[in-house]
Amino acid sequence: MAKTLASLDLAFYLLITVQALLGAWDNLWNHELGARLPRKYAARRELALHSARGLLYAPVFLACAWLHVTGALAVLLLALLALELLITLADFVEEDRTRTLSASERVLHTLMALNYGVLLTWLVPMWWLAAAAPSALVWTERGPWSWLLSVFAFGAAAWGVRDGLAAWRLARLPWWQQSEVRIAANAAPRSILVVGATGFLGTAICRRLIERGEQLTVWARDPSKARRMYGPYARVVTALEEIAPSEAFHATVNLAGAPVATRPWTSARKALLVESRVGTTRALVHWLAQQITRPSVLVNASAVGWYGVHPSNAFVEDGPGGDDFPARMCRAWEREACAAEDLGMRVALLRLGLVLGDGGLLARLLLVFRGGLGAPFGGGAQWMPWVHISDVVAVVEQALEDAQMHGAFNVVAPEAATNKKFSAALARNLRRPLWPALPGKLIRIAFGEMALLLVEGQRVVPARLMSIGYRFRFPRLDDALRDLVANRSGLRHE
Amino acid sequence: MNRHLYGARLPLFALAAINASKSRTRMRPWRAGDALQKVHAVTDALVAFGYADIDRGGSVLARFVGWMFAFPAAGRALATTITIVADGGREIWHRRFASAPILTHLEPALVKRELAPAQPAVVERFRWGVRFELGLGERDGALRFEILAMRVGGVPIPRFLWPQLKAEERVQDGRFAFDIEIRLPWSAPLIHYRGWVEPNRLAATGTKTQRRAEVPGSLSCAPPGVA
Repeated sequence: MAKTLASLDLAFYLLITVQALLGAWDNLWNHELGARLPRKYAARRELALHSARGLLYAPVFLACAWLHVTGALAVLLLALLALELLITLADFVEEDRTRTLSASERVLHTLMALNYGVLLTWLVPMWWLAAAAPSALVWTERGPWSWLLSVFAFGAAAWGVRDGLAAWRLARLPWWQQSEVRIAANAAPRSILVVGATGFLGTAICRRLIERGEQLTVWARDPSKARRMYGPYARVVTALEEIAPSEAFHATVNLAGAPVATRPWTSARKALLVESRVGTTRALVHWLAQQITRPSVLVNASAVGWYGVHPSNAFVEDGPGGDDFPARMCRAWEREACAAEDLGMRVALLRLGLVLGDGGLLARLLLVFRGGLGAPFGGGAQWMPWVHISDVVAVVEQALEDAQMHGAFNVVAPEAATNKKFSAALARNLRRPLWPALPGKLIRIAFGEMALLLVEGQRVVPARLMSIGYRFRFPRLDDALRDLVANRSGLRHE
Repeated sequence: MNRHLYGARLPLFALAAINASKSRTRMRPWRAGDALQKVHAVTDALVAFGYADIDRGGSVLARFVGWMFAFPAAGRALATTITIVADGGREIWHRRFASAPILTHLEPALVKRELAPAQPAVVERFRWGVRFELGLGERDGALRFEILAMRVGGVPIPRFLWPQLKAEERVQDGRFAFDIEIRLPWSAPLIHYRGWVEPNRLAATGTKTQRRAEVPGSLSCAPPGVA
């Protein structure tokens, strides 16, 4: 009997050793030397999964090496095994999604899966039985096996840390280092000054302009961030005075402004929101006035907040302005931009709705909805004018060229959506439940005045864009959300 | 003179305060119906840039009070930004000297003094629940203020504990110039800041007159009726 048990123990240790060695081989040969995962942006999620798995293996190896556990600790080890199983399944899906596995790697993964299955038939019953006993932890030395498994534990943890660091570094790579930048042949590149290039919108717009072969100059408050984001593809200035008065630009794009929906609207925050928009635009126009040759066009961001909130009115561009804080701020912002008309420039004011892209408010909503906690805000009947970021980029491109684009334009999709409809569409696309609406009062208590962005809205019609024949890439909400949720199109915000 | 002063088109105070029909101060009162009132009621927001010199009192108490209220450090030709936001019935005044911000709220109020009829004034609120009721008046072509009352957490503070204020604002060479000196009750210097900002374009003001013209819409950048 004792001999049988000893043989079983030996088999177990041999199997776990085989598993560790196969894993080490897989990491070294396939992941590091073959696929070179730590250098590939597309592999960042796979690396994160490998990291989590390595860090889970370490305590399992150590427990098998030195401990005899019972009770709650055995339950904990069982939970680690279950988690490891989930991570491995996710890893299978992720690696199939992002790369083509070599034949040897496929075979190796299959062998490891089989071996792991055998190990589970050993470990699960053992710890299952131990879980019923009172909690205890007994130091149990298993001779050379203890030391060998300790080496495996150390190796798994070290590789976990290495993969984790690589995943973190890759996730922070600027877009031009994530993949090869394809710049179109441009016989007559235009020189464009962009203000507010490091934000969610600015990133997408600058990227598109760079890919078109335009020459960008970026005025940024945080030059190191801008340089990191655009590398050799844009010139970064920290003050407009760094640009010679004789230097000529074809166009100016002004997207400057601190994020509106990230912090409560205290008085200091309101002042910052105004200063970052109105003040920056004023400084820009003042500088433009001093230039010897001025750009022909200023494309200036604004927002549908210009109209204030209203439960039913449909606002077109010549509709009345509102009287709440966003409306007053947008009005002052547009006035500053319009002063460029006195300098002989064409000014296009883009009144943006909620921009759907890989950033901004949608990114925060996705976190909640992906977690299965999505719900409409307030009554859900409030309008939520939205636009896909691809359309914003396209409208900016058109505004740079099209002389018809002068004055204010509502940049929102033609399909109007209430908050309830939007929330339902988002939940549907994510295949998550939609809960009953969050009470508006609760949201107002939590967010103060800023809650009007969530529990109130306005219906806005892109009348002027449609009248000049602009064709929306994403006129329908379902299509827009499907694109963003499924493809996560490369419009990633830093 | 008033017209000239307001020609700078800086939103000085909330409309209701400028509406004062009488003032019990020693200074010439603002009169209802003044042309400046029509030109000058800013309803949106404004940012103005300029420069300022700042002196700070050196006493221990002056330093302590300066620290409490986050007064900016002394310096010469400090880049200055004033941001004013109309916020309901009040105005947010955010002054940035170099990188140091001071934020106060200004709102109109009626101040009752002893047996005299209530008079309109401006209330300026600082941090720590400190508020001053300020009378406005004009003297020598400058807008001047005087303290009518001081409260901390709603509790009236006796006059002998009030700071001494010498404050005037005027238009000079098309710029809005300010000279504000605050001393501790016994005349020790607390802070003295003087300088100017340029709020000088029509497009930047958002006066009520202009806004009325804009309300029908803004198909074109240039609002109807505004050159």
